[in-house]
Amino acid sequence: MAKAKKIKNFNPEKMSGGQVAAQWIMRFFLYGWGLTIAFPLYWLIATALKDNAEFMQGNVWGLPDKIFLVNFVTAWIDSDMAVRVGNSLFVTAIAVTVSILILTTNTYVLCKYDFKFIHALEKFYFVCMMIPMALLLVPQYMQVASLGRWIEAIVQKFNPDFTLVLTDSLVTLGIIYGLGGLCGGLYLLNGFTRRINNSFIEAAKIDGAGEWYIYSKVIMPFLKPIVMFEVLTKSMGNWNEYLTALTFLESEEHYTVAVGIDKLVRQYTYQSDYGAVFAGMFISMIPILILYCLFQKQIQNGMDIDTGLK
Amino acid sequence: MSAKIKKARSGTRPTPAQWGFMLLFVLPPLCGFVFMTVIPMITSAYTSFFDYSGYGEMTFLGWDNYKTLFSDPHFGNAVINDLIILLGKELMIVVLAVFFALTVTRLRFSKGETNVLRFVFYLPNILSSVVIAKMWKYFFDLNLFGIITGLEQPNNGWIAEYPLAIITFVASWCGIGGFMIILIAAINNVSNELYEAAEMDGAGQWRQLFSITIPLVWPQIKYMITSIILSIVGSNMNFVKLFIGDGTGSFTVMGVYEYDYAFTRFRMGYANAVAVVLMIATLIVTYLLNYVIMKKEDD
Repeated sequence: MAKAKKIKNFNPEKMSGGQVAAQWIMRFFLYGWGLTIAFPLYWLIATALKDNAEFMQGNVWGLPDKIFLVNFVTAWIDSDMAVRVGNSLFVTAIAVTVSILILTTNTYVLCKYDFKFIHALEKFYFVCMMIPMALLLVPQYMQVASLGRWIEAIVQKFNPDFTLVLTDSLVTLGIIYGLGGLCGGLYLLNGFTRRINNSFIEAAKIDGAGEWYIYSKVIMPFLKPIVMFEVLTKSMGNWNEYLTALTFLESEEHYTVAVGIDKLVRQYTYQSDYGAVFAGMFISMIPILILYCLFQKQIQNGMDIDTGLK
Repeated sequence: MSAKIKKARSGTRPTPAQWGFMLLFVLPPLCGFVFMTVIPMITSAYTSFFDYSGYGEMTFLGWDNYKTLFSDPHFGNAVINDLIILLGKELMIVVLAVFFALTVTRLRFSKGETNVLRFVFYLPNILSSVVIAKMWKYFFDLNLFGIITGLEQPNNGWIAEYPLAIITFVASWCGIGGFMIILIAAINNVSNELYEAAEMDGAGQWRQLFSITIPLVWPQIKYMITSIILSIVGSNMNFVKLFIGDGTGSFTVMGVYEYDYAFTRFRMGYANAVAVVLMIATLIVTYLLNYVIMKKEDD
């Protein structure tokens, strides 16, 4: 029934002349906006493939005369993009693993355990969603630094050679990312977990299932689509994250892609080597674009449920 | 049997297995979370009364940091800049996202065309803010904007001259696609029968828009407004840091102001005083705004 209506709705014969005219006028605006997105991206890719001399001689907008791949070599090897891509992959893997494990187990407990302190905990996480985390960056950094110094001092009593820098570490960064998405992620997942019928859990309990079994075999299958969405958005978000990485990572061999690009831009703008800069930016976009093209449907359908309103 | 289950579920004490599960999976993240949010808030309130460079000795100052803070005109500017960007972003994103979503749904764009538009419009949402900001920065710094529009470049460059407008535009540019997709789904969920009934009663397109579509997607619009508010501090900080740099120039926002004092000037005590004041202010503002928006929903 609904389907028949939709098809009827798309029948062009049903549209009046005024509607067709309105459609064309609006199409003008929509494609105009689309151009503000497509054109800068085209420009980025075209410049990445262009010999810098050609760019400087005035071919700013056009397609490259000949494809110039040296830019990518410069960006990949000379400015260590290879190392940075590896770092970013490592951090993202830790962050996604930690956050998915935390989110799915906690949403099970928060929604299906009926105890007072669990309800209080849920409220606590909900309230904490309003905290502007960006303002906490400085105190967080100090906190982690002092924890590192504290651990170092204790271990040094037994082993004087021991040194520990907790802030400048990819593992720390991954864990911070994992914890950072806790409140918002729980808010989203709880909406789903709450809809899982309790009788499934009770039936499993009668059959003698343990907590881990209920979590992995009853709860997780229901959460699969939303977990998929979380994995995708978390991977892309953590790959792109800039401020926290900039704050915590000090030594250059630990830089992630985002921080590396920032540095690359500063370095090559002085040398006016725009080709290398844009090649670096393009390299950092490739994983994101691949994920987006492969999973566009999951990501965009997820956006609809992300509101928690459906 | 069912009585036994009921008793087990409504019992006030968790079973040993439940304790185990909670100890293993709920306690560690809770500790981590408290360590990363609650404790930093407390220590930063404490540190804000000291002169502290981040390492070494702390000198007690009393309320001095707060007095300096409130007499610094840059601080007021930072707060105002944040509010202006928030307002501009809300207006631009809400208006354009609603406009685009209405257009593709109510004007019956074909499925294929809608999908292409969705694909393109969502792209800025997934790209790294570093790439986006640097790309636009070049666009303005190399005066490509001037070449396209035929306007003359100001002496110290577009970004230095119009930072508010440029950052508001780029930040909104990133956000529109995602919200548009949410709205498209919401509008498509509105039953066609409502529109048919309205048409029979002689309601025109505008009447249908304001009496059917907008009220029915109001929850989604509300969600847009709140989520922009919740993310504004971090997003502004990100873009200002990437566009303007270290905040040593005249243009700054709350997050960058704090960050700058902590990591460029090494005045951790002062930076923490900034954090405390801004944290309290943003929490109050966020709470009030959310309260107002939620209230409207209840009426």
